[in-house]
Amino acid sequence: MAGGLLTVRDLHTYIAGFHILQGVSFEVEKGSVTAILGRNGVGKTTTLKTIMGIYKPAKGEVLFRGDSIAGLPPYVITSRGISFVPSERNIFATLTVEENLRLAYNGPKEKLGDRLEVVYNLFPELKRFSSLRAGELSGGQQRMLALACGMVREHSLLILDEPSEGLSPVYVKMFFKKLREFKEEHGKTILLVEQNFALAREVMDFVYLMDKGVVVAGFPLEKMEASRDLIRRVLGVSL
Amino acid sequence: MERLRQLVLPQRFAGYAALALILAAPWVDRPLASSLSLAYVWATLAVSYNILLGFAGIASFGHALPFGVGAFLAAYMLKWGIPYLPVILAAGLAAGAVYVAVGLPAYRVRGIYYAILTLAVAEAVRSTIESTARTTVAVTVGAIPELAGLAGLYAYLAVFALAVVLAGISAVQDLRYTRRKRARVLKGVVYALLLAGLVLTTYTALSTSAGFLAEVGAGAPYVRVLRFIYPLNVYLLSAVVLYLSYLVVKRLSQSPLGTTFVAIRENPVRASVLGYNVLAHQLAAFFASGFFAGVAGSVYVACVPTVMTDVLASDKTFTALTGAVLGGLGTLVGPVIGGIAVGVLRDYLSSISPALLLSLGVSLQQAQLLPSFILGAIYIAVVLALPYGVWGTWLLRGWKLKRRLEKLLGT
Amino acid sequence: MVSPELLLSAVVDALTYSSMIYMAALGLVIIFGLMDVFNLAHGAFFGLGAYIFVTLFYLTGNFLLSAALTVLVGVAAGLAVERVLIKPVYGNPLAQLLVTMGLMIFLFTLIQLLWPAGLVFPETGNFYISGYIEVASVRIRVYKFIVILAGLALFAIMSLVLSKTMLGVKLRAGTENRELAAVFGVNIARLFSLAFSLGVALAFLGGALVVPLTHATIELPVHFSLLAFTIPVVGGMKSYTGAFYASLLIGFVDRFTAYFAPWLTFAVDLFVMIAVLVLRPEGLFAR
Repeated sequence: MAGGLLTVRDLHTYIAGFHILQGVSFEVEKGSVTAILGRNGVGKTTTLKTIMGIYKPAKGEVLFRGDSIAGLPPYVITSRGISFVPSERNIFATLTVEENLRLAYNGPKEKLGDRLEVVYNLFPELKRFSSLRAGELSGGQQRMLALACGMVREHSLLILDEPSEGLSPVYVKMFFKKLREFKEEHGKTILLVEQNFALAREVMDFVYLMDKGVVVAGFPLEKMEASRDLIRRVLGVSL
Repeated sequence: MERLRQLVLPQRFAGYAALALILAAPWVDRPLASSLSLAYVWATLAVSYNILLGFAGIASFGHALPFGVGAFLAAYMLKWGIPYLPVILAAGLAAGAVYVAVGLPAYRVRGIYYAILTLAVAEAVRSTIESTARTTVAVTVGAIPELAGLAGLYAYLAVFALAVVLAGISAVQDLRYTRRKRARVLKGVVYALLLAGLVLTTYTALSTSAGFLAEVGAGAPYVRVLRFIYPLNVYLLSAVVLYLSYLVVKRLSQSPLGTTFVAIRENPVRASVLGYNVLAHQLAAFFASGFFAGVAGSVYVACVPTVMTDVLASDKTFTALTGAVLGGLGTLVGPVIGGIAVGVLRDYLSSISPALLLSLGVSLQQAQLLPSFILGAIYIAVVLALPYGVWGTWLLRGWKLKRRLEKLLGT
Repeated sequence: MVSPELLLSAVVDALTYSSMIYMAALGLVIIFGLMDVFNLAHGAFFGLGAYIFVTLFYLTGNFLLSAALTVLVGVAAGLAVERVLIKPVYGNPLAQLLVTMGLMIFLFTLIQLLWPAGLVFPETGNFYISGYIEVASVRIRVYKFIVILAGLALFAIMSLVLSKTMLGVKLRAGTENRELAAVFGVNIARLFSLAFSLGVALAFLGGALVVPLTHATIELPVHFSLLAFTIPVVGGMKSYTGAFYASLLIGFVDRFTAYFAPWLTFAVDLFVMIAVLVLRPEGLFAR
């Protein structure tokens, strides 16, 4: 499967002496919604953070559009076109909603206004609270803001870490609806890390299963039925 | 008994050799020994600092406080005629108590804030004393009677001879267990040279002392006696205090208490959840650290003619800190080596010939600052380049050098 | 009873002092807020700024030019120190403490070596710098008001920069959550260099501005070091506005104590700091 937008090969990351990633490999096809599923603590967030340059890998490759980005500082990786929305502490509480969005935006100044319009159209609530300090929004609104920040940035790959965590079902539904809208309209590639299998399966085209620091399997949505035993073993859920 | 022997005596030849060399110093070069006496005080201060920072993990910038308390208390008590040994103990206990008081907030206050707090407290004490006192506070202590006695000389010679003998035995033992012929020969040569030097020094020591004692018998003036005995005794005292502080830290690190300290240092919340009384342990560390700082202060009084408020100045803290960091925080031997090195360097820098400095355009006043200046630069360099200190880095990376040596020796 | 003249004099002095402390401490808060580096050498930079300013003033005779040049030196010094000393030990709080302490000692001895006798700021004919004014029959040095104004101006400028500029947004974001800021595309390394040199430049500026009142002596950096250190503790380690209010508090407490019980001044300052540490460790004015 050559020619993926993002290719990760044999990634090893150590944190405080612990061997968290023990050879992670996967590929994200352009234009797809790829999900990485796995239980708590298998290294999903560490993988994302290694891709984003927050952690330096001890071994392995990360290729974005064919260029190696492993070990580069996060701001460079972001400028190359990868937008990352972490799972927690993902907005600046002391900044206003609009300041958060402005900070996230990294394109030409003239287009800022238009981009903000696009985002505000997707999230009208954020427009209403645009001059409020982000810390005063509700949990669900903060997640919306985090997603909005991810979207407002110039990017070709959007990476989301457990976006549904801690959200009420209403918000989750809305969240994924917005995500799909955005993706359809702008043709972005999305890499999604989730624990919530049922939700992920609503949006994903391709899925990787992770266990104990490695990717154990990867298959498209159509082939999911065939791997139900594997899914049950790795995730603990039945189809 | 066996445990005591294991604790007090070194394990390898290197240890014995070090002890013997330390004891040999005054007989080789008197002025060196005097400067070393003071260096040992700084080394003891560095060891005491290491108890708090290296083991308990608490950074304190007010270490001059227990040192100064010990020094002043000792100075006043000696002036009042109290015998020296109780004075040393009292100084240690008082300094320990004071440091415990300073240590109380450490439990509630996080690391960096606490460090600033200690800096502020030490400065506050010093400036309050200086501003409330109408004249400069300075205590001059005459010769300390215990250090002028002949008993010290006999003790010294006995210990020295014993050390050399033990070194010899240890050398033989070591050679016996070295298998490869090449290593044995090389080691043998080195050991032989060392021991020869030591034996020669012992002989010099004995003969000089014999000559001296003859003079005493024939009625030598008191000044002459003092000149010979006093520095010797001061040196012995200083070295013994340093060694004792080293032993205490060694014992501590090998005990369950030591491992508790490490646990508390690494993760205090977890330790307290596990049932360890973090506060009590921290205070104990403060007490031990303060005790030895105070003892160092009381020995300081023997090394210098006058004790002034500059003992509370932060550059004493800095000296201890540099010594501990240079040698290796958290190691046993590191602060000893580092402290001695810093002490010797200070002394050397302070005594650079004034003529040389004037020719370089440096005024005398500026020359006084030279030690701190150069030490400051060295200190920064060490923290950046050798964060584990000289000894610490040796322990960590030394195996590479050792491997090479072993290859060379064919072991 | 305290005479109104004495009170007026004390208030003016307190305001002046607060302004001086604020200028000494603001840089410290900026640096700590963003980088988590407590720059123990900050007071030494303050003193160095004072000495360099006086030297430049002797050379140029121009107040504003000397001040501007001093700030430039500060920026350069900040950049150099950050690159050589701070960057290598980034992430290691103990090493940071040790390095900045070493730098502090080094700079103090450097100051004493270069200017063993201190430097006196000369009398100038300028009314604003050396002149006096009569307010309600109290003779007050005009320059004190200049210092007060400078402090207020600094506060105003800082607040504006923080709230209205992109740089301010980045500083606030980086202070709140460094990792997230990096992911948001902020060049953290460059921001650090900027913040550190800004902080050091502010220290230099502060030293320069106070020196006509205090003259350049070795007590200047020592004294202001300790005062500056209390500000983050009292005001909130990362709070810029907190630093302002804390400076006012400490300034008033310190100067009023100095008027009525001079030997207690430092002890009282220390007491305030300890009280805040025990009762409200996050700082009095932190958000």
